[in-house]
Amino acid sequence: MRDELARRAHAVIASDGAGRDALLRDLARWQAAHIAPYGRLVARAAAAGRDPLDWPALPTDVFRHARIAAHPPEDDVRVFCTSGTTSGARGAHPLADLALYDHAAERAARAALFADVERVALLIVLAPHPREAPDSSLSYMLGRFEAWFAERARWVFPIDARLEAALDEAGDGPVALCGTSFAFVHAEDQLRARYALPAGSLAMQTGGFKGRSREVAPDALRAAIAARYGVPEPRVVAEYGMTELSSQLYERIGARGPRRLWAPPWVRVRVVDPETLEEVPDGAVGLVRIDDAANVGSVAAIQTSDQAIRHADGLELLGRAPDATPRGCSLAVEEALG
Amino acid sequence: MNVAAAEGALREALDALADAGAALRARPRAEIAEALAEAWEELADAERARGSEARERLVRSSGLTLPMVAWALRATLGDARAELAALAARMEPPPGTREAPPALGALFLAGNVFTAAVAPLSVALLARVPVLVKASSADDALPRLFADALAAHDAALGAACLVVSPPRGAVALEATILHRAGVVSVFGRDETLASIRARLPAGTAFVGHGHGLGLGWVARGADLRAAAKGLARDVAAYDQRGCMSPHAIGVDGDGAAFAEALAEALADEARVLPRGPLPTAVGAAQVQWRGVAIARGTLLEGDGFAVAHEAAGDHAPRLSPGWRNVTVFDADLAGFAARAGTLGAHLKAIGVAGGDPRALAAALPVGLAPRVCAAGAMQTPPLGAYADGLPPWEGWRRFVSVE
Repeated sequence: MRDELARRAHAVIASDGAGRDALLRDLARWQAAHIAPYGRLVARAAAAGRDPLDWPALPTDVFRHARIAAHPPEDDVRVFCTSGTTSGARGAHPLADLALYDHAAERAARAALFADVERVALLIVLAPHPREAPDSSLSYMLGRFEAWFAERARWVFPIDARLEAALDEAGDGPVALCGTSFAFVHAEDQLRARYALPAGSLAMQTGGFKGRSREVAPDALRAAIAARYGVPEPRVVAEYGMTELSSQLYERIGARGPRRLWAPPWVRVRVVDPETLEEVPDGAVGLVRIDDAANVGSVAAIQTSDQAIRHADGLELLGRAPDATPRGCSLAVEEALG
Repeated sequence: MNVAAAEGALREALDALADAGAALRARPRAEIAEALAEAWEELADAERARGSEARERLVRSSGLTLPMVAWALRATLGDARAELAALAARMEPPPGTREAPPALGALFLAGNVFTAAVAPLSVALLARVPVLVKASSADDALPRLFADALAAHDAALGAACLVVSPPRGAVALEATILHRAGVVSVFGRDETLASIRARLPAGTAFVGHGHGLGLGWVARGADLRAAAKGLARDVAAYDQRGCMSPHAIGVDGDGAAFAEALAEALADEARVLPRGPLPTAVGAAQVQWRGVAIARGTLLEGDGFAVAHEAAGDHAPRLSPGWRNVTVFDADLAGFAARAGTLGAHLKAIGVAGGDPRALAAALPVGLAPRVCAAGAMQTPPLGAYADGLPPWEGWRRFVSVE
């Protein structure tokens, strides 16, 4: 059954989403039967006969407390881990097969990021190499980018003089700069020179800061990257990925107007009310729920803590819900939850 | 804001406040207690103008529902006259001493539980210290109404209480306050405490009450329905936002049965004291917390509350995001005490059902000093209750030893 679901998932990805919802329904039923924590989460909805597309999604925190996989640990070929919290507990996403991850990542990046460039001449990665961070899904994906989309690559992490050397290597062909937001901030703090990367170059930043650099507002960071490397702002885009997912969302390269995240067509994105978990209307603030048809071996329906607004032209990500509530001396949620 | 003008105005106000100290120090303590009781009672009474205004403003500023605000005012201030008289008697100088209070005190309030202002404000004035109260502008209704009521009842006492709400980040104004006060009490985040302490002159007394939370304990043989009823009130009060609100409850016995009884009791609470609207940030945390609860054990959800029953382990109790989400775990007395110890100084209160609070207090690891009380009373501490192991007048009373 798993092989059949995986075959269908590949087909849904290859056909840009045809048959997605039918697959998501079947995935929900199969995963509920094979992954106990998810089975318990959806038991009531399933017993009530609700459409599996509307069963509750698995909150990301559960990946920190329970193994979420339909296969035994001995079949793991890779375990991607989150970066952890104050208590040190890290979420883990075990994978028995990387083919679906690769298929989804390549197709999404090709559509959103490398739509107008077959291969860049140089990929500069501001993140650890997969050899140094084998449990980082971002490093793994960027490692695959090197194979899929670049003539050659330079990996620079932590940020040091190697970055200037890599930038000096840029010739006439387009360059892609990809890395974490905090690495771009570190680069901004260290570089003195300004660059004019060749036409067709692009920059992709992902993730927050998590205390690893000073915080910079997204617009300001985008403008700084554009100015530093000589890349037009519409070609400086954000990626939204999570350890618990196999697919990624992107701002599309070259897009004009307000910044919106694009979801690949095999991914269903909803914005839900934090209390009822029902979908909120377009324009209303809620929490992002993602149903990723490429997540066959774990759970496809993932409930995040990220706040967003859905618009007709995409998702406006607002980030983690701000702690706007007065807490005073009561223990802050982050600390309480560890 | 013109900072120089604001600083000048603040200095003048602090001068006037310090001047009011002379009359305050000359007043009999019982008389001060009487005047305080008059002012608090006015706010507790919904039929009087300030009491009515308090309800209206507190519903807007606190995010709590009107029944909850009304309950909180009644529960905190309902017996204030007797408590203030008793507290005044306890605060008389010990034999062989002469009272020598600081000339001026500053009280920094947190915004999570509005009635938390009542005890420290009362104690400051009973200690005969003119007090500047710094409250957040979003949540200064109660101290401001109290100051108005006090001034109306007793102008001399009213002159000894000043409430300010400078904008966030008004460092220069804070510095002016910190350099004039002889004692500074702070309720708030640990980061706020550390920041203020670091800016104080060496001779200033500092009392900090930082991040905290509560636990519940159901002893073996307890009547589970009665225990659930009391602890449900502790959870529901202030929508579980207080530093004494229980986030997890240990049960020596049938934890699953208690969890069910607690869910029923919380449903009753929701009818009497409905929960306020859920902020999105808390909603995000609640979704994650409830999901993990289902993955690890059993979750009983109701309208605006949830009870998780999770298997026992050696780990610290899993704490909730508040807003009426609570974990029940199985533990005997020793196991409960050990897990309570993992919270250290953050543990502010334990509500005990069906057992002797003294036995639990005796079992706690060395270094813990939470308030231990009966279930149902966690959110209504007496005005004279110790907090963080310290008497309420810590830092506010000083004596000259006359030998």
